Amino acid sequence: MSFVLQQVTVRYREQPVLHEVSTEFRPGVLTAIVGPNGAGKSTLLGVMAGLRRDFSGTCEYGGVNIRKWSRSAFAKSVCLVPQSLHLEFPFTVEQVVMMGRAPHAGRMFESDEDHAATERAMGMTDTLSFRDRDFRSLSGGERQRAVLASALAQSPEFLLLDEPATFLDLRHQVGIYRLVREFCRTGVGAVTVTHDLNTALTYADRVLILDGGRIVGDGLPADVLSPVNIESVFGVRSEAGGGSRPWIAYEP
Amino acid sequence: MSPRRFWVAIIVCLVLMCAAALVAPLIGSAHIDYSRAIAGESPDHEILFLVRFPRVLLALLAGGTLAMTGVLFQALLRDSLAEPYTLGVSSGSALGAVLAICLGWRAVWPPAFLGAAVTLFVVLAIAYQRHKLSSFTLLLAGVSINSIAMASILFLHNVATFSQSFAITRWLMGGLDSPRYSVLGWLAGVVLPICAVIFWQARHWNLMAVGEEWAATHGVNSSRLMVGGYISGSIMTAAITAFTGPIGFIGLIVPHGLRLAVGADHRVLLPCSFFVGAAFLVICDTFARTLLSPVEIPVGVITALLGGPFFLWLLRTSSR
Repeated sequence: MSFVLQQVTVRYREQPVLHEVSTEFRPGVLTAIVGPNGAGKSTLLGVMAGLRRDFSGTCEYGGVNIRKWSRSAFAKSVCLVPQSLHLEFPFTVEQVVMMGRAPHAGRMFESDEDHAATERAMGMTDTLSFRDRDFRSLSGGERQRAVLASALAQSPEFLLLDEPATFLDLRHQVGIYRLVREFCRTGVGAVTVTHDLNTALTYADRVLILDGGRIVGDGLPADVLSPVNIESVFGVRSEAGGGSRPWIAYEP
Repeated sequence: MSPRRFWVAIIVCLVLMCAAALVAPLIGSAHIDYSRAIAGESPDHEILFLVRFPRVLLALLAGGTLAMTGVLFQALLRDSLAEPYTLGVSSGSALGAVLAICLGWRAVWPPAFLGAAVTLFVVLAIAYQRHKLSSFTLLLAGVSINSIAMASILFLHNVATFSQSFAITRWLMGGLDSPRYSVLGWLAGVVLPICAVIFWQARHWNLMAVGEEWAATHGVNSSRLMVGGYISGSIMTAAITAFTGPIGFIGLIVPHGLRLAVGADHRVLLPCSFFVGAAFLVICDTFARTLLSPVEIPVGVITALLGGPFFLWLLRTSSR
């Protein structure tokens, strides 16, 4: 199922945070949203995740306005990986991952299928070794992997990721994006917000640049993340190269 | 969570509650015997069924409800220091009770309940904006109303007569009495169905304890759950406080102690909190009525004196 946004505008105290954004996100495609701070990236993700209802325009998922989706049906299909998760209470890692099954599970106890999905997700995210630890005792990177495991346990058809690799070391950054890309190859759609342009260039199928709440670039990563666009949006001079393995280097 | 682990925890806590409820009525200045009381022999029958048993039942209901409401408000506010009295309802209840004492009314609980109800709606009206209840605004509104109500209580206390002042102080310390069975039935009819609904939503409370957005993206109508949780917790607190006055610490210490023992999963935490909270208040009340017998210590003093050091010991043990 696809997301189709038409003329989506979000205002915060009369100031537009998103301005008439129209675009489409299809299954099987990993789209990276990049842009400077305050560009409206997380707001766009919030609209798509159904967290923000204070927008004008339309946002449809699977041809149905997301306001008309039942919350549980929507949660079975679309999953949001937040930028960070801070817990007040001593939930174990496994309990947090198992929460991903909430939209699928019955009222009281989890099924064998729920346990299998949780095991699988923890295996894929390398979190099995600390499954019994208090989530609050984890490092930032371990937390983020547990949150991603929870998202994968949700068995979504569409993944929305808000800077999922922020706290991760290089190995786990690469691991996470490889994993998301593999999921996309199986038909899962993914939209990720990232500040790392090289990550977007390396793993995304499509890059969308937001600036001042407007889409100012949309297309193949190597085309969109050009030195000209980077300088105009971020004010940073850069150099691009690579061919089959493209890269961006910033002027010191 | 495995069903086996769930049932083991539930049964252990249930046995603890039943043991406390069965042993406590036997303890007191007058020695009584179950067999004589059940056979209808006087005065054992009267002491057990008219004095001690109703009081133990009230302690069970009050302790269980306050502990469960503590868990509920902590999840709702994602604040481990939240307790049933955080959101102002008990202060509203206290204001109603104090006003009734100052006006010389005999029945204190109806105005106490009314005061709690008014507070509930005022806090809700402030915190519910644009079809959304913000836990942050809820907390601030609750704390503000708390302050206003407490200031009003201080004012009334200041202008009260000597006997009224004593009655106010006694009520504010919290205490248990031996109510009529009809009153107990009424109280149980209010709080137990609400407890059952909250337990039924335990998985949703797990998600809410992580965050509103987390709950919303996992299929929960978080705003509706928060409004429902706040109203439910407030009604429970109001109903209990109207009869017992504010009994502190149970809503804080029992959930924290249990989280160390059974974990944070609300499916087991909520019912276990009810059972252990009930047992805890029965034990505290037994101390309250026997330690300086025939003088009775307000049970709120005992919960704080027993609960405080126990809580500190738990904190110390868990941090090692």
